[in-house]
Amino acid sequence: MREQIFSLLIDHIQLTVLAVGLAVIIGLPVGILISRYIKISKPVLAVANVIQAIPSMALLGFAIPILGIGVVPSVIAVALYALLPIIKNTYTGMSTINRDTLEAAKGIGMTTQEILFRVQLPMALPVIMAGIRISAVNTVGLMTMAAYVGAGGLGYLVYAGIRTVNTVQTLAGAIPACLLALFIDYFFGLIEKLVTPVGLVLKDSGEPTKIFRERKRRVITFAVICAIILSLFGAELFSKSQKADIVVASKDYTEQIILNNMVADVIEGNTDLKVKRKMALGGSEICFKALQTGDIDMIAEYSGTLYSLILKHDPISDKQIVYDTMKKELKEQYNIACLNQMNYNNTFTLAVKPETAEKYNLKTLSDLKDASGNLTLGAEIEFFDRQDGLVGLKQTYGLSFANELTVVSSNRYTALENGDCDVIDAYSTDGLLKKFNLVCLEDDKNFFVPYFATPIIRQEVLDKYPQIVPYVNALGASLSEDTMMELNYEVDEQQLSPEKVARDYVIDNGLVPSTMPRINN
Amino acid sequence: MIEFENVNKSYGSQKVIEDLSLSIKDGELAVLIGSSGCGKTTILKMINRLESPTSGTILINDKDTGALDATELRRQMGYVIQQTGLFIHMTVEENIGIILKLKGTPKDEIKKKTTDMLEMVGLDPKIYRKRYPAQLSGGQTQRIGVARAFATDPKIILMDEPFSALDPITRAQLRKELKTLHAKTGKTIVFVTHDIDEAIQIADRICIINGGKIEQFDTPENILARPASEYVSKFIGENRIWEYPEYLTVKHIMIPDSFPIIVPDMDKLLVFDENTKLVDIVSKIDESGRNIFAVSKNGEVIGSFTRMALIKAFIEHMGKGEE
Repeated sequence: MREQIFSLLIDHIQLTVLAVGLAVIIGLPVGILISRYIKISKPVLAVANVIQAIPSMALLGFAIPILGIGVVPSVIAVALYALLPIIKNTYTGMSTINRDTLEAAKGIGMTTQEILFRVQLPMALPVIMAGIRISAVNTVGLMTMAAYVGAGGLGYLVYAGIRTVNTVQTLAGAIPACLLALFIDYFFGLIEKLVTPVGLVLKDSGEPTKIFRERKRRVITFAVICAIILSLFGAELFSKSQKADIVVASKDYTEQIILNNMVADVIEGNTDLKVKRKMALGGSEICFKALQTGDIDMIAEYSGTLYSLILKHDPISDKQIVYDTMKKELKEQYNIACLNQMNYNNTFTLAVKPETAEKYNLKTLSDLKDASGNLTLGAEIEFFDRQDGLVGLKQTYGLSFANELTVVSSNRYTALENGDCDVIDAYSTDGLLKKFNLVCLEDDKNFFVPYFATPIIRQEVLDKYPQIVPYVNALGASLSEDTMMELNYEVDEQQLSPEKVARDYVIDNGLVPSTMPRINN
Repeated sequence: MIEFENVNKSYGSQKVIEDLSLSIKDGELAVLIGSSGCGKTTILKMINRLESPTSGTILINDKDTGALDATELRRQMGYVIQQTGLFIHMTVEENIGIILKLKGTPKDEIKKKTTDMLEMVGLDPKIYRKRYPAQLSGGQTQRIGVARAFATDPKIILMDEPFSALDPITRAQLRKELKTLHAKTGKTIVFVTHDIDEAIQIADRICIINGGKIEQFDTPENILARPASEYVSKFIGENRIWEYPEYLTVKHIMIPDSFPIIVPDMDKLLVFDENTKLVDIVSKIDESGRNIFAVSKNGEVIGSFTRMALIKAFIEHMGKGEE
């Protein structure tokens, strides 16, 4: 975990530097411009203010369709937020320079450009640097957003921790971010003091020798810190320069992270290819877009999702037709290949407590028809509205529940435990099913759309590295709903890391050589 | 030579300078003076094109300043303002040498020049070279301002109330030093002030400006002794000439229309032209042993004065200052 934190920290710093750098390159000239042409200062500052007021996630959301995912949209979005303090402070710094000084400069024969670079900017620099410092500190905090679109950074740990309710992980992301912000504040404050012309410092305080000595000390401190930072970057850059052969991604929930780590593991363990992992990237659409643009090469997705969401077909329940259509159309329309479907189906199901199953003799969904009149259903809001959810389910099985409640996500299990409801919707491999020892009702009429995990990969990458196919297929064949549920359970309940769970599985099941190193939690 | 030909300057509908023509000779120290808002600073700034005339021409050595490149023009002049306008983020040395540096003068030449300039204004280069303006007193900053103006060895130096913000003692000192400097270097200096005493003390010629027009442009002596208009005499103050006894003439102490004079030894009566300076005749009066003297104008006697009148007049007028 420590290496991960360090690597993410370096990512975070790099992203912050890019964003602040971009904001300075744009903001500084704009600030200088509006200080010279006062008429446009009001509208420009108004625009910058408006940008700041937009919620950060919304701005990022706007950016993605245009700029894609990854470093580019996050840097640009955050840079927009960094603009305001820089523009404002540059404007202020430039406007509050003594008019007489500027007139004297003009009068003795300095050109506009000479005045700008030799008089105005040096004198305004302390105020400008203060603005940059504020921007930088803000940016460190906002840059946690970057992880949401796969750009890396400490946000990755924060989001992961929130998602799996792992406070330690959240803190592992939040605390370094906080410390980084404090350090940036100090470091830029140091720069701010160093770029303040000595003449200005003397004006306000006094003792020259003390001031010069302090200045010297600050210069040395600055140089030392720079040297340290550069060497850290050098080390990280070197390790990163080992370029990856295949980029494997996952969506941002537990099963996906485990599954795709396993895929990456079997590739790395059995071939000498280097795999880069971009886990917890986002939702299905973000991941598919990344596949199209080549930001990622491979992901284990679900057949139902690809069939209905991506390829936009009406949902059907025939497993083979779904797979064949999907394979054909992905190849034809997107030049993406499908490997074999894996041996488990993570589809919708209805679950009840064992006592309820016993009382009403429930094994299949058909059994539910008569009993439903006595039962309360608690389900996610998504489930209620979908044709391939409750709507079609009720039609197919003739269900009619006594009561229907919308419940949020993992609260469903709690509600079931408390007796607030009797039946809940679930994904068939949810770890929590195991925890509460629930009974899943069999879909005997084959209503639900199949969601078989299927690795999809860019055709050109597959052509380059066909050797991965047997290993990935072997992985798929070894899995089952129970196995997957068990693995999910280990992460969600037992708080093991998905990487560890994945690695242990592939080693213990002989899918990789036993010499592959295990992972600590 | 600096020439203004029918220069007009208006800000919108407000006329600030009206049909002004004036000619400043090479090497003279011309002082522009007037009350606030009279346009004296505007006139000064039109010489280095910080202001441009609405109409009319300004010529420097017969070249129209409007046709020259403004920056080049300014680099060939020195410019000193009241608040000095020193760059507080630069050292004294850097301030003095800034234009030389921008022109690309080699480093050692700049160093030599700054040393010379510091010595010229009476500051020890070793001590002051690396100081910052914040470490200097008011008088020292103004000296640096002057040093900077002289550094490029310009033929013309413009000074806009440079000593007005200083205490009287420093002011007096700097005035003296400027006059010496002017005598030594022979540069043309155009100096703006609102202090008439300052003008009288340093000027070769004083230009009194009122409402954008020239009232009188003449030597201090002529302005004091022969004010061209009522405005000028009011501006100077009737009693001011008594602070500059070297300019007093016989006219100032004479009793007009006090003739015929009946004195013993009429043929030995001394007659002085009204414009004779008192300083020139003091010893003559003393040696003559006489008591009454006659004053003439264009050959005709117009009045007389006595030895006592001389003394009385001094007692009456001295120390009355401005009125």
